[in-house]
Amino acid sequence: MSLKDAVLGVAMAVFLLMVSVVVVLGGTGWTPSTEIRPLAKFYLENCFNVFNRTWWAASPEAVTSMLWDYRGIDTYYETSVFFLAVIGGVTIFRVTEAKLHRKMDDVGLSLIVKTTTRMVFPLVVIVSASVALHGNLTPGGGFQAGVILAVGPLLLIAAFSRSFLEENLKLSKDRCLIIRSVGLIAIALLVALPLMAGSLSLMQNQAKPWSQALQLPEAVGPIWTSGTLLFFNVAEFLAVGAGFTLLFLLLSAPEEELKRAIGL
Amino acid sequence: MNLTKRVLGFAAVFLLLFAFFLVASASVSPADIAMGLIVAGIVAAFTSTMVIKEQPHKAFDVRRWFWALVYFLYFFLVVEPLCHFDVAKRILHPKMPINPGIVRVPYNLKGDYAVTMLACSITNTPGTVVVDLDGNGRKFYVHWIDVKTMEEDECRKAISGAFEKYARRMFE
Repeated sequence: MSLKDAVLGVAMAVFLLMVSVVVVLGGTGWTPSTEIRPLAKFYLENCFNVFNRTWWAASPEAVTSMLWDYRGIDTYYETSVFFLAVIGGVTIFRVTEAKLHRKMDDVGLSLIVKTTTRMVFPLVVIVSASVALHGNLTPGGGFQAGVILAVGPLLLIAAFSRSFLEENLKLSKDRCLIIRSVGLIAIALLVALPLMAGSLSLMQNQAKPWSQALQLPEAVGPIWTSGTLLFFNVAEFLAVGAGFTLLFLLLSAPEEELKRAIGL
Repeated sequence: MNLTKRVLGFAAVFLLLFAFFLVASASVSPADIAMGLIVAGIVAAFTSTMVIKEQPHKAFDVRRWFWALVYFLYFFLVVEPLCHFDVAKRILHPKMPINPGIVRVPYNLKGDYAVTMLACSITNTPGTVVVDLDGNGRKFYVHWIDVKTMEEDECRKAISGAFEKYARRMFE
């Protein structure tokens, strides 16, 4: 180790220390107070208040409660926006399945990467499912789980090829679109649930003082579903996972083939 | 693949995924067991032939699991810390006594999992990294922090010999 290395090391340590001091003293600007403000207090007190269920959402996860219950309509529109983005992507790459197909055998990364990916892929799917199914209880939820799910196909595309995905898992562009639509239709049905039961409110999870609509029970057997929240999360999980997979399939198509299929 | 093999392969992958679901959820409540059974069933149905291509009965062979346990205990808890210590010593030593280079290491394994386990074991050991493999010639190209020999069989003895024995017992 030369003198230069030693000086560099000490300089870096001093720099980090100085930055820490600045952050601790509030040099980076206003930091949120540690006191709970009234709005946050409302959600924290009510989202899982088993003693007074007037305003509750049946979920101990305050973020998920807001996402799918208190401000559920917002999430619904967000999901629609993402769906439109996917549709936009599909429209730009206006290609049919048959035109894109090309037989590729000995492609992809080395045997080591391929074997590891074969093993890791189902584990990624399991983790994503666990995140989706616990979205109403712990941090995470449908969107996050969907993004994790899409990592699986992305790994397969990188390690093998897109045709591996299409042949081994039968995950084609059209199938992804179908899965995504099933998720969205499920969300739309859940949104309309109170409406079908004769109440003039959309997207209602647990009954609130202003509308005593039909509500799903907070648990099904041993599984705590938080009313509709678990089902919203699972539907969103499928929709987002399939949406991203669809985009990855399109983006991984070889450029020349894509150009030929579009007619350039 | 015939039906028995399919069922065995599904069962092996299903059990693995079910256990992994419980670990990922950090819970063994009745709800998680119920959800885990459903999720593991669905995922295993789609991926079991991808994970296990042939000879699924190996997954239920107790001897293979025994050797896996011995491998884990010996290499992860004994050999690896020693190698870590060696590499750390080389880095911190004022003269940095390294002699890096890439050597060819032959192996004699057939299965994908066996070869992958061998490669990952070499990479996981501090001081050696598999940078490429020649599947047809059955040779790894290994980066070695302290090249002691260029002779292929000597390299094999020094770098991968012990791992290969376990890879064969576990996967071949």
